Amino acid sequence: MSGRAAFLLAFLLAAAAALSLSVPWGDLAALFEEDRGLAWAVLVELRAPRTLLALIYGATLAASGAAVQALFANPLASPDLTGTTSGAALGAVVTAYLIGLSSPLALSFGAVAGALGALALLLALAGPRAETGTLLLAGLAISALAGALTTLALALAPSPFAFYDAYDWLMGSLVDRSLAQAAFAGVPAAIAILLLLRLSRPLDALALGEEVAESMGYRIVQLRRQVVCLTALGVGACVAICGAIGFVGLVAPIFARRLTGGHPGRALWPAALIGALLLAAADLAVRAAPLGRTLPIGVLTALLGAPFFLWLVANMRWRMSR
Amino acid sequence: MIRATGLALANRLQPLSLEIEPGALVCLVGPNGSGKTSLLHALAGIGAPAGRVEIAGVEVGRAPRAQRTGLLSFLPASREIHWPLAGRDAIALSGASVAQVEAVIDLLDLGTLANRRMDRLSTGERSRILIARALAPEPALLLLDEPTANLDPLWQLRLLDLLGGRTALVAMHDLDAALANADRLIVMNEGRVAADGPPEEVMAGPAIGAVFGIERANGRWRPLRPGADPRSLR
Repeated sequence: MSGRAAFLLAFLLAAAAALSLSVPWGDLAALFEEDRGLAWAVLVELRAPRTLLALIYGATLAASGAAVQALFANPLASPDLTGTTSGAALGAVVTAYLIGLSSPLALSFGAVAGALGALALLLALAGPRAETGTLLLAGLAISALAGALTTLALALAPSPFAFYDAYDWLMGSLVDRSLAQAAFAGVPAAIAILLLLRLSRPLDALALGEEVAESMGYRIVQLRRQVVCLTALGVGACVAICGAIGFVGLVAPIFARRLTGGHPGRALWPAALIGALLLAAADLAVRAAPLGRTLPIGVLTALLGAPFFLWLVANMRWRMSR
Repeated sequence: MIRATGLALANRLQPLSLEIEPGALVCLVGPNGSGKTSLLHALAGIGAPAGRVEIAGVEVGRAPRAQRTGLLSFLPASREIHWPLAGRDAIALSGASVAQVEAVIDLLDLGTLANRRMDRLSTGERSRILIARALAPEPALLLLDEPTANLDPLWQLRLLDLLGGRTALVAMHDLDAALANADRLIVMNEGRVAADGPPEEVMAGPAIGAVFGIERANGRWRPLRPGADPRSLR
């Protein structure tokens, strides 16, 4: 990636973060005049968690997406399409409503376990070098299964308000999270991203094929295990706090690879930046939308991401039929 | 000297030991499924093989990755590439230096091809890029799985010519090309070495007929028994 592209990305990211903290500005400015302490509290305890969560969740989805795409040698793999996010959601719902543990730590454990289960099932179903069709079908089956089990878990939940309660969270939401919750998602996610970035080189070597990468001294079985565990850790921790948000993990790596000449591994860190930017921008758009009530952010990313995905599939088909 | 001892790969390659002189072009022939690729894989450390491989006194399995780049490189039979990399970038992924990458691009006449995206090249063109990738770090041992497949006749000749003087183990199906170019010929069958020696001697011996079920008559290859499964002849 060129220095100019990196600079532009960093600038856009800083601008999105600043906007995310300051919009809407009017009421906050008035509050600063009246009561400085209260204004700071609003900024730090209400707005900062939302901004931080948007950035870290976006970066996690995108870095995981880029790593999973490189691993499966497939540009359509991503945490949501492969069922990882729905697995994590199932894990969190079971932990909260059936087991009855709703501390952020317990939720995180449940979600990470769910994500790991989904990824392990995907590897078993689709195999390590999955054809696009197999991968998407296996991912679809896992998502459908996890979705059905999530609904079942909510139906069996002792609390009669479980559905209503879980709705906003299941659709993906960054609203009304505390700083502590942001830390519960952010710390494991940041660790996962940093460790994933260290896999850039082996994931690039994998572009030459598994055999060649292995002949160069990379341990493929170990690499696969690392990508699966780190993706589950990052995505699971974020889903536990913010619910399932789709398509960022699919879209961001595709843009990122344009900046790295197609290198799948080197695209990890620009993907993380782009993912953070995309989700922060989506969150701003959700806030600005004149709907009266706040739209769950997952709805917006799906509304924008699904047509993009369709375009990708159509484009692929067109290229194959040539 | 290249020394492999106790080399084995699951049930595809029976334990064997092998020594290769530096500078020797060793051709590896054998029917489909005879273990040519498995032998190359085992030497390259692919698929958790048993045994040890030593190149110029260095044990390959224990060498750090940077050193390994100079020890061996492997060209798989598949010419697929999953990402739209430029040819030059794919060659650079071998770990070769910039000077080595440019040198191999010159050597294989890849001037314009190297700037194009790999997914837009023909299979033969892609082959040349991937062969360049294997040659680039100037490794002490080249392990090439059917490098001449997909190449046009001129490039088949140029490639075999290029390999002269380098240490290479080359799996191929063209017995005549093997006879003409190899310093040594190894015939594989059912995961074992069926014959090993100077090409003329091996070709004159009984192994070719026994393993392939073909013979040379009037300057042409033909089946020993038309219509028969060659494996039933043994």
